[in-house]
Amino acid sequence: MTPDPRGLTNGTISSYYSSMRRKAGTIVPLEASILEASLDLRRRGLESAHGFLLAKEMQDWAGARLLTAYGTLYKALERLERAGFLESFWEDPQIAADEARPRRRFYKVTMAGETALSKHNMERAPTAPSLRAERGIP
Amino acid sequence: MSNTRVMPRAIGFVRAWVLLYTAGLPPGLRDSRREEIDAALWEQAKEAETGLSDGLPLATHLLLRWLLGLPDDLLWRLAHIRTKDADTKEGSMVQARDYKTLTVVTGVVAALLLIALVVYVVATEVAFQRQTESPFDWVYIAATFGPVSLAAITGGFWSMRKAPMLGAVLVTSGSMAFAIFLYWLIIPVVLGIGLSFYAIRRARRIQAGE
Repeated sequence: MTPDPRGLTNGTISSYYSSMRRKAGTIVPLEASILEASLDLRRRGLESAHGFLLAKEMQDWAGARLLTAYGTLYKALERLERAGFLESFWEDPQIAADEARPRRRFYKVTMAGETALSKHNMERAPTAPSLRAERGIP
Repeated sequence: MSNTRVMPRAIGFVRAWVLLYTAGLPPGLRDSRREEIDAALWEQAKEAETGLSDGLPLATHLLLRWLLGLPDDLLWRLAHIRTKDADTKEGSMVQARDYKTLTVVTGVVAALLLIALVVYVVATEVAFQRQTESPFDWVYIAATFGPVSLAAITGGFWSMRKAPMLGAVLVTSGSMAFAIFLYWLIIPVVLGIGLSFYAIRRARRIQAGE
């Protein structure tokens, strides 16, 4: 295939191709909630959190009846990781085996994630309170 | 149907769905998604054991989480098929068009499945109240899932020539919807998985121009 002089490839002009769907470094509200939840848990001493814990945290904040759907949550986590806003690692299989449960995958917000979240909160409405402030979190 | 039976069924249902939509992916990607969902289900089941509420609301919660995430699961799966296949200009144009159609089709299938799910939950509750599993409840469920599944399977094969992957998604949704709700009969599960693999293989062959 001949490369496009403008740097476009056929893979990146598809409307589905994830990297073409928004500006680099920007996040959508769901992703902002995930990052906020993760940062809040970090402030409470949890450096990293697994998906279920993040979903619970987001549910508590939003006062929602349902946890974020599996497909929606894990797709967003994957997207955030691919964008470099989250890092993930699997826990030691021995710990999971000792507790007779499946292995957990932990997520941790990166510096780029913190920057993207600050940018999102500022762009959302420069005069509006951040998601945290709205939820009464200092 | 007792509450202790509802939760394992709901978990089995979600697990079966995850096994299906991750089938055929590279092992690393496939296993990490499966393990991650498995861990999430375990956490939720643990909560059901230790929580204040009983099994039915939590099982319903779990199924609703599955249902609401269904379009994202399908789109995620499709994205992973397409990142491998998006090498031609024609392919990319088809993808853009397919994406819009897929969104509509997924919405319709999800809405039909939601109706069927509500019927399933109501029928289960009725059976639980009666302390029995009346055949009428299962006829009721089959009458809902049968037409939905058959419509999805027929529509999938019908549309496969024009939109192969869309067709495959429809056939898979239809056959698995029926199989998962009748999984204890085993045969629908075997048929559902077989039909799904056949549809995906056929779609790939059509895409490859064979």
